Amino acid sequence: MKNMKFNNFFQSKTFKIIIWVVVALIVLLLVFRLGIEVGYKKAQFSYHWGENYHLNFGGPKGGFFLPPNKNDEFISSHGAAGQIIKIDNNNLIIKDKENVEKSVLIKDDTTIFCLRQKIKASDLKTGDFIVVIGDPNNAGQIEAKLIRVMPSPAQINNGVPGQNTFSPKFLRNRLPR
Amino acid sequence: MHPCFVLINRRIKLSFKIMTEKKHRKLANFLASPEPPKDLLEKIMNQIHWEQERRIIKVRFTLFSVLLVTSLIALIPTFKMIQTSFAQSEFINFIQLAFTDTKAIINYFDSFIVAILESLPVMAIALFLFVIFVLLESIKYIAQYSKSLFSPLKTNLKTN
Repeated sequence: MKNMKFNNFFQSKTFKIIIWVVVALIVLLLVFRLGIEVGYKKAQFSYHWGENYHLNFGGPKGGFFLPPNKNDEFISSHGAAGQIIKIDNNNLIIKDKENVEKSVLIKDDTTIFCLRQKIKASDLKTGDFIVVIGDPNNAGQIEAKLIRVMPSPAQINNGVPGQNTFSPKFLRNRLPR
Repeated sequence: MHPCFVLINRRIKLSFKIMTEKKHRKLANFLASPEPPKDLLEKIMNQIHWEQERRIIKVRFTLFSVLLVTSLIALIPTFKMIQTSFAQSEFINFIQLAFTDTKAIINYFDSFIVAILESLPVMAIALFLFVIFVLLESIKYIAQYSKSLFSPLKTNLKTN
């Protein structure tokens, strides 16, 4: 009789609700943990970026350019997308979409792509629009793992909206002769 | 008394008797009118209850209609907001990498995932999804309430 009640409980609606609550709590806690992790990384990188600003870019701590969005002042640490404004040996200074300068360190194992071919770091030019994936270091830089040269919004079909193709000028400069 | 007169007199009395009997029968029939059905009270109470429910449904229907209109209006600015957030963030550029450099992305998957998470405009997406949720829920409840509100009057009184 007791066994019957026991079995009925495991097939009851209450038991299903308990299971769903437990699953929802697990998902919620995992997402919360993920949020903490990402937030911590962003905060840490922003701290190092601010601390080393005068070393990386010159100028006051905190930078000349302030992020325009005051609610999201932390800088993303594992990637960047923007225009190269300065090339200094293996160090690229880029200005991202939020007008924040980022220092990107090119290492020996960094893969650089342009169109369908691999290129060298020396092939990168000031004004190129690049997308970088990498890891942050304690000097407030991003150690690049992958760099992809992309047509910037102005280079896409000479800035004509709605036609998402490379402009002839971009292809002329980039295609091998 | 003349026998003829007596006969007429009897006849009149007889017809009068018949008439009164008929009247009595009619009166008896009238008095024995049909009893109301036994469950009449229950049916009336059910009807009253249904009318009360209908009134509550009307209020809820109005409330959800207002919510539907509000969420429809809110959909436009939130959509613009999400569009702007995606355009300003680097998210689209990182996603493009997944298509152009799939092999390289597989190698650097950990950094790529963190970069995607960092650049995701979470608040804009959450706000947009919330508006979508309110919109869908309002439609669901409006459909549900309109069924009971605009359907023919529910009655459990039997028509004989």
